[in-house]
Amino acid sequence: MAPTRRSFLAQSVGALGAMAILPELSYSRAKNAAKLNIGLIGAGRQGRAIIAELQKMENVSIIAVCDSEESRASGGARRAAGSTAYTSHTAMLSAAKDLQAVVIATPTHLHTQIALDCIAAGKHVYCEAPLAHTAEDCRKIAAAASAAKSLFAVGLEGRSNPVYQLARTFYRTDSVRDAISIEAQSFQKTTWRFPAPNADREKEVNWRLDPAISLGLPGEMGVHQFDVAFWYTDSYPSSIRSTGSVRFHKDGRTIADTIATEMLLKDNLRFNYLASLANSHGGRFELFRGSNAAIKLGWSHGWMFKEADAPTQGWEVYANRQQFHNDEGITLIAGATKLAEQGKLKEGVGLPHPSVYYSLWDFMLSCTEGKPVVADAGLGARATIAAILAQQSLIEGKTIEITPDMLKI
Amino acid sequence: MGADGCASPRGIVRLALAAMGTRFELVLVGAGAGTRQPELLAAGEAAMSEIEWWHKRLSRFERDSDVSFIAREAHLRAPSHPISLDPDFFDLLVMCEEARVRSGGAFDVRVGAEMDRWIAGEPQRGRSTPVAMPEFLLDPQRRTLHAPGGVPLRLDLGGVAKGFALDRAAAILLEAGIDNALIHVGTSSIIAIGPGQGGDGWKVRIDPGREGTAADADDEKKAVRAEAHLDVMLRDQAVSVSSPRGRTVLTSDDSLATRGHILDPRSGLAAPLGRTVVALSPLASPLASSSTAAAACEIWSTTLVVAPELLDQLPASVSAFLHDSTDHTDPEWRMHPPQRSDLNLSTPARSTRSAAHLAAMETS
Repeated sequence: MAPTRRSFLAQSVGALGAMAILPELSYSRAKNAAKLNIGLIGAGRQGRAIIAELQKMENVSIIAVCDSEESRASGGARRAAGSTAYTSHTAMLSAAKDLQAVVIATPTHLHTQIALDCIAAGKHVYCEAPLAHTAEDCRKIAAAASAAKSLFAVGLEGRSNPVYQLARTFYRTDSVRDAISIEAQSFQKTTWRFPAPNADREKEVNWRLDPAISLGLPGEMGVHQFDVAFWYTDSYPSSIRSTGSVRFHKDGRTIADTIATEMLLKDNLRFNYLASLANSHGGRFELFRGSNAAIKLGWSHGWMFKEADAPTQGWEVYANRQQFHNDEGITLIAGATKLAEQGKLKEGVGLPHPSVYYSLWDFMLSCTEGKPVVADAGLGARATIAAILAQQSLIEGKTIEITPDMLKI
Repeated sequence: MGADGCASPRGIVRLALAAMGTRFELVLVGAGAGTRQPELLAAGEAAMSEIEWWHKRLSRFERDSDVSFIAREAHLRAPSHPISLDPDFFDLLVMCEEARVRSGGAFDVRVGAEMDRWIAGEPQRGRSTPVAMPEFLLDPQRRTLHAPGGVPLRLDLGGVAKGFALDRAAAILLEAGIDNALIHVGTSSIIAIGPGQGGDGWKVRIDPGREGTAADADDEKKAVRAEAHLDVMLRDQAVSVSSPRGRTVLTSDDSLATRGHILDPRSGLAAPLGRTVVALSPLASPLASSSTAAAACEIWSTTLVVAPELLDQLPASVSAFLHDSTDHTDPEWRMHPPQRSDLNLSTPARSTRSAAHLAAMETS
């Protein structure tokens, strides 16, 4: 029987998209998954987002919430119904007997000791990126994780993101062909300063502005995007050069509010990264340019922009498209196969959950079903060390040539 | 989306944020010469960040929002695995449910599917039966939601979300020690904290005649409306104004008519143009971060647009002005309760044919 237009579309999209995508509902229900008791360490803004996403998962119970500030610990426990508040992670580890896994969402410079203690207590660990604020600490954590029987995952969100997984299959095929360059940016307008309950805690709350412990924009914003470039190209930089300054927030800070980083990846592929706290235009995205097409990724969305002379692959004739000034982007849709079968391709534009959800989901599956950890401590350490070197280059004002030993874990 | 900050050397911070399809604005006044600008700015940004958080959680137009998650999944879950909710979100839904009961269904957040049809331009033909709403159950013990009927639960929080976001933002400001601030959204809802810059309160003008109706073509009437504004001095109060905007629809007799953007959940029909409601409520006293004053104001200003007969059945904490020109007469503002000694109206309410909204805020 000759294929109908719809069946052709379904088959074609399915052939190209099948590698990466699960139907969206499977992302909140793991069939027959065992129950998982999780404790959260760090109940600030990111901790709140993590609670919200974990609560969507039917088999996950948040049984403990820990924060060194009592009001945040109790506030976090209030959000996670049925959980107990703790003001120290050691107290939580010793008191919460049913705890199987922890999520670490504290300020970066506090990760190391907490991670080591959790590993020593035999808990599965999910640690937000960047992994730590020094290369030495990254290696310490990676070594402890490697020797442990429990799992260790790092929240490098791009690797679990269905849109990014799908786009990577295109990047690594003839759809993009010869890599030309990689660009990424993270622009927002914010002081990066948070209100403190009292003057004594001001410095503690605003650790991002403390040059002694902060990794600045390369670390706190860049690490996720750096890792996407490393993952897509399957390479790490051979050199890093950063520049930056305080362009706008002249309130006495020394941490740059606007930066530019250039990395040289495999085959001399240039990766240029811009970040600023002084302007929000364009937000956060990564752009991979190839001789056949460019792929633009915006965390919840992705698009492919084909060159006019690129070969037609058939399926894209029927794909969903969006206009960007003079360019027309083919929308990269997670779950395209299923949606196309249902005639609902357009409804698939954009992810059904925030990006962090998918990293936590993968971690949950690793703990309960033995799925391999998507971003282990070694990957987290290498991405973090690259970010540390980017910040170091900015401070020292010079290019850093990277030898293999520098990224060895 | 992003907060756009502007700080002046006089201890005043202004911020703006695009969210919920409109613009939120914030004015913070420092406590005096000792107030450091960076701390004020940090508090303001935290408040705006809170609004952004709730925008992402409550919007039914964002695919990754909690509301969209509920629509996809609540009806598919087994009763033993209901959806766990954030406590603030749960309390909001409880508040909405209480309003639904009190209003006899004139306020109902389950109207999402009807709104989808309305937005899609489905003709509004005559209906002989009430709109069937999907069921949902809220369990206060477990703080969960379950939709037992097998029908997707499409919540539309458009009649409360902006006020709720204002309440949560005000809570952040109060926790940060801010005691003099004004925050508003799209000039339709406001929270005023403290005495303002002049010390007498925050002066807000409710300015009629800014929305489009056929009467706008009449310059003389425009001039009358221009004089018919209502000035209110607000201090530790919330205000919300609702007034349907025009949209052309196909009626049951196949004729075209201009109808409002607010649906009556009981009938699925759009509220008529020409009705304006201003709801006011004091913030919790002493000022508390748990205030829901702006949410309550938005709920009841929306409700009274579709059910003006409920004007004298408001909760004790809410007062309202109702202006109804749907019958093309020249009405007066009606107020409930009739006498309010705590409101400082610098210009008496006057009659007007058209919609009103908060158009100007004076900070001096």
